[in-house]
Amino acid sequence: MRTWTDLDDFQDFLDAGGMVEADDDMPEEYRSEVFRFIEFHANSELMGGLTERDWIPHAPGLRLKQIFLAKTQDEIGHAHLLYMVAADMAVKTRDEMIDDLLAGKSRFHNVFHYRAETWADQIAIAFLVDAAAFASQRAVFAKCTYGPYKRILRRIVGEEGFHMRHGEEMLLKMASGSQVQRDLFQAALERWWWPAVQLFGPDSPPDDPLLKWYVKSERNEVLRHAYVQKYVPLLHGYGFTVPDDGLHQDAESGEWIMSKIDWAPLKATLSNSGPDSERRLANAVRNHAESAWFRESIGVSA
Amino acid sequence: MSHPSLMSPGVQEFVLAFADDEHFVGSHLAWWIGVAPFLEEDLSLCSIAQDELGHAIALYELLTDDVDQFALRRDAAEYRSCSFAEVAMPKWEDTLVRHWLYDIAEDIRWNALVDSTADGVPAVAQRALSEERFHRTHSTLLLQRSLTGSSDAKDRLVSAMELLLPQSMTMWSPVAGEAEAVATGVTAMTSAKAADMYVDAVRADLGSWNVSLSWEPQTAPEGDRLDRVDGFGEFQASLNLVLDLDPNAEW
Repeated sequence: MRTWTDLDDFQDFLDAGGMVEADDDMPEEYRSEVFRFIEFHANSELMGGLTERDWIPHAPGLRLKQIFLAKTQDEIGHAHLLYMVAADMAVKTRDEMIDDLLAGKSRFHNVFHYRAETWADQIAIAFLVDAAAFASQRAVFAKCTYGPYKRILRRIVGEEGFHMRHGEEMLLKMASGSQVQRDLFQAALERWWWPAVQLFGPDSPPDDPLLKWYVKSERNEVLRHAYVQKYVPLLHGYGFTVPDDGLHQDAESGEWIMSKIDWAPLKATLSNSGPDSERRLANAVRNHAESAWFRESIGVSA
Repeated sequence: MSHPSLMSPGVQEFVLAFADDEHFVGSHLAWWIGVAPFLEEDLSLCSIAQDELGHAIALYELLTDDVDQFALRRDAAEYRSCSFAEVAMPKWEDTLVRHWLYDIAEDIRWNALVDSTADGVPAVAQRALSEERFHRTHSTLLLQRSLTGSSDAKDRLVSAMELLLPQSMTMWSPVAGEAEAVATGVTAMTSAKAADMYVDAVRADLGSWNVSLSWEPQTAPEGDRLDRVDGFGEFQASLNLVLDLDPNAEW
């Protein structure tokens, strides 16, 4: 077990490319921040699975049903791995993390406070949300100083990249399909564009400890900007309209400039007051309670 | 619908009955993704659901070139599923008990097909059996642990068994084409013989768990596969919710 004399000593270790392991005597500030970040990630994977499950029974084909099952299984699998990594940090057990999630005491990504209204929302999630999550997670994986998290992220990023490509394939079918399909996706785009952009969060604070400790490798605004530059032309290319009246391309740089982001919807999700927060959590709480007898009988965690 | 195989209508009906059962059980298991009792079970049950859907696809492919159209958009009267496979089971104890019973039956049904004379069937059966070993282990271990884990769990599971065991016999309700399937070597046994093996296997498990039930197995009901359960229309409409938006679209 490694120890450090103080935060400066620990920072020198990280600046030199050091990697922290679960059994290190890491500073409590680092343990607390990294744990909170991983718990948030785990919660988001789990709640993302619940967002996607709503449309699996209606998948328009048996192979598509298998594919979306496998995708959602990946998300639940990510949650499973992340809860184990988080639990090893000895801040909370897995049961405590899930209890806190269901009690509304911990958070998950803004996008999973929204409801998938149609099958096209399922595709918008795969194309837009998974891509945003992929960009965000890849940026964490790049330098992440917490070893157990970095090793898990290698797998997660790989699978999310596959989901993203599958989303693009599904979108291509919608874009080249009937007017019904194009209209369906355009409506979904109007619901999911801003939540996907907001997933990156507001601009990173100058003293963001996760950047200082190399858990995150890039600032939120930089990732968000890169995402917009990539996805606006892609969506235009598929014949869809990005729902931003102020969106324009800078004549000199060629960069896409968005309207000012309204952060109120994101803030609402932070207090579980998003459009579908109440239903999503209530369903999760009910399902969890209804199967408590079984977990107790075989002595397992949730 | 098109039929790329050279199977006779009777043999097709026999294969269809199994395909429809697999389709509906797989779809019902898929419902549990994200809401199974614990994370590891979520992952396991989701894999099993994918396997069952895969078995359905493999069997449908022996009958048609357009699996989705055939699997999802027939008239209700054209399905040959049994009521045990059709009914939705939103309570975990019912789902777990059906999982156990259905997989006992599947094991018997697939084993009867490994030497089938029908083109393509033995390969599908071999693949399915390799997956079913895991399914059987999964359901029996979970039941064994839960039955001995608490009296509440035992009460719930035994009640589910008493409710579902009689209905499970509908899995052995024969279709008209079965006689031809047996006569031509498509399957190695009649439903009646398979039902006997099923009852023995169920009783062996119950005995090993020290569970005694008042179950007296009845002969499989005739005609069950020609009728649909209450709520089937709603279930089928749910399966077709997206396809109905534009039936000619490629999704």
